[in-house]
Amino acid sequence: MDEKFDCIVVGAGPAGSMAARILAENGVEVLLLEKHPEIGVPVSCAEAISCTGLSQFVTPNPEWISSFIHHVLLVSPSGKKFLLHHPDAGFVLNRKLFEKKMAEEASFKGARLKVNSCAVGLLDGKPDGFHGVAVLEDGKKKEYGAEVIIGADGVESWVARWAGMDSTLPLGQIESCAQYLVGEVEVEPDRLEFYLGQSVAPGGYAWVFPKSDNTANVGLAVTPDRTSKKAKEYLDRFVKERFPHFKVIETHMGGVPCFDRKISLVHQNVLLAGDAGRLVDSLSGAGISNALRSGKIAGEVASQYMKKGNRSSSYLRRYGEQFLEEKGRELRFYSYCRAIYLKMTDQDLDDAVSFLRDYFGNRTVTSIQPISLVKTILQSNRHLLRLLRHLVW
Amino acid sequence: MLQLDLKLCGECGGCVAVCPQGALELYSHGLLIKSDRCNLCENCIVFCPVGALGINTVQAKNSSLGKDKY
Ligand SMILES: Cc1cc2nc3c(=O)[nH]c(=O)nc-3n(C[C@H](O)[C@H](O)[C@H](O)COP(=O)(O)OP(=O)(O)OC[C@H]3O[C@@H](n4cnc5c(N)ncnc54)[C@H](O)[C@@H]3O)c2cc1C
Ligand code: SF4
Ligand code: SF4
Repeated sequence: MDEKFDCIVVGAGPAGSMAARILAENGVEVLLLEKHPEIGVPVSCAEAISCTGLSQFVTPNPEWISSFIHHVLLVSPSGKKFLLHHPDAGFVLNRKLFEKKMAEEASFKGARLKVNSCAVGLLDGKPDGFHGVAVLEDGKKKEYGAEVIIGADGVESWVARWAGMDSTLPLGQIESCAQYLVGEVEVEPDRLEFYLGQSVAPGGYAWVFPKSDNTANVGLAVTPDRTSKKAKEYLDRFVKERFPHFKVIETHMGGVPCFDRKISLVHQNVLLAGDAGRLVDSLSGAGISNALRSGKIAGEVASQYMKKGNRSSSYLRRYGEQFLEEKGRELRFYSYCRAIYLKMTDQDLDDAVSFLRDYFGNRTVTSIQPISLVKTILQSNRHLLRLLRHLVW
Repeated sequence: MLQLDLKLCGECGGCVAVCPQGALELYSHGLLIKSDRCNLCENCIVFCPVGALGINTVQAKNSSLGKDKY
């Protein structure tokens, strides 16, 4: 064993850096591992987050915020538009900087951060779990001991597999995404745009999220078992149709996992946070806020576990219980919404967008109750009504 | 055999998540295919947003990448 820690966090994304910061603040010896040489690079994300989704966990800072969002535009398959005005809808982050700040903060509080350090296995040998992590650090094999291991290693999570959890995502439970950061375009700097329709993005949607008034994240997600074409082919068509002129600055691919109510977030002394735990809103694909929340709770529970008297592995299950108590209902609701969304025809989407336009008119909205809104949409005409029974709520 | 087109791969890790055999690993320097584990179910090929994976059609990646360093 090269060195021993109380806790090892695998992956310095939002979930991992948050967990490491909380652990360090509680005086726990924590090692934060990141396989890439630089934090926040590459990051495959459209970078949007709601005001509440961010500010509950981190104080918003213009240093790492690209745009402040006040409007949301929905465009239906036949081009019907609905524009929602919301004074504090959210932000488009500069995630490269945000992730660096998060990791820096964890390190400032006392977490040991190692970049270029890829976890390559868990160390067996403890009766009730694993006693550490095998790491490829700057190309050399190392072994680090730990009482608790937090897998915050994103959608690909090998920590989950090594711990013996079946985390393979079926093709209907993951969105296949392609995105360009484009420049030399004209966009509204405070408006998110969403484009719906089978020909735009089957089983998903396309987005234009502004990074400034002339740069934007333009991407789309498709459900891979719904189309034989690739996400990038749809994206190439979409971007040409949306912008008469554009310049591609960066290209990103990605996979967004869908929440699975059956997944367990704790196995022995291994906790899964963020995308590793599939803690993503299945309808919109938003995962940053849940990554922060799950990282925070995992860090808190692991800190408590390290205190004398709490060292039973059943104590760690509190992490999963607490997360699901706070967010399980909402994540299940969005899973149902996704199932309904996948059943909607282009005509249904047109009807829903028209309904929203009439329902909200031009007024400014300050809060939305998603459950009652979805019910109201589905009850708004008899075609949509057939979908209501899928909202097992 | 499953093969990867290095020029296309965006190293997103989605294929790793859909592989039921644990045949794919993503290191900071690229994707590693463990051909001995792969049963050619094609999940990763269907998932890949850019079409970087295929069977015997594109140039093979050195499949010992990462392994020998470990
Ligand atoms: C195209 C796209 C657009 C998206 N847009 C949005 C959006 O607009 N809003 C939103 O809220 N969410 C969005 N998401 C989802 C969001 O990006 C994720 O939910 C979020 O990044 C999850 O954070 P995380 O910390 O769990 O994982 P990640 O951000 O994936 O971080 C995991 C980290 O672990 C590291 N790692 C992995 N394996 C190892 C290992 N073995 N050893 C060491 N380190 C390892 C990785 O390098 C990475 O740094 C989007 C996703 C995609 C793909
Ligand atoms: S899904 Fe495609 S782009 Fe993503 S890592 Fe796998 S091969 Fe590369
Ligand atoms: S073809 Fe199937 S088994 Fe082989 S690497 Fe791809 S997903 Fe895994």
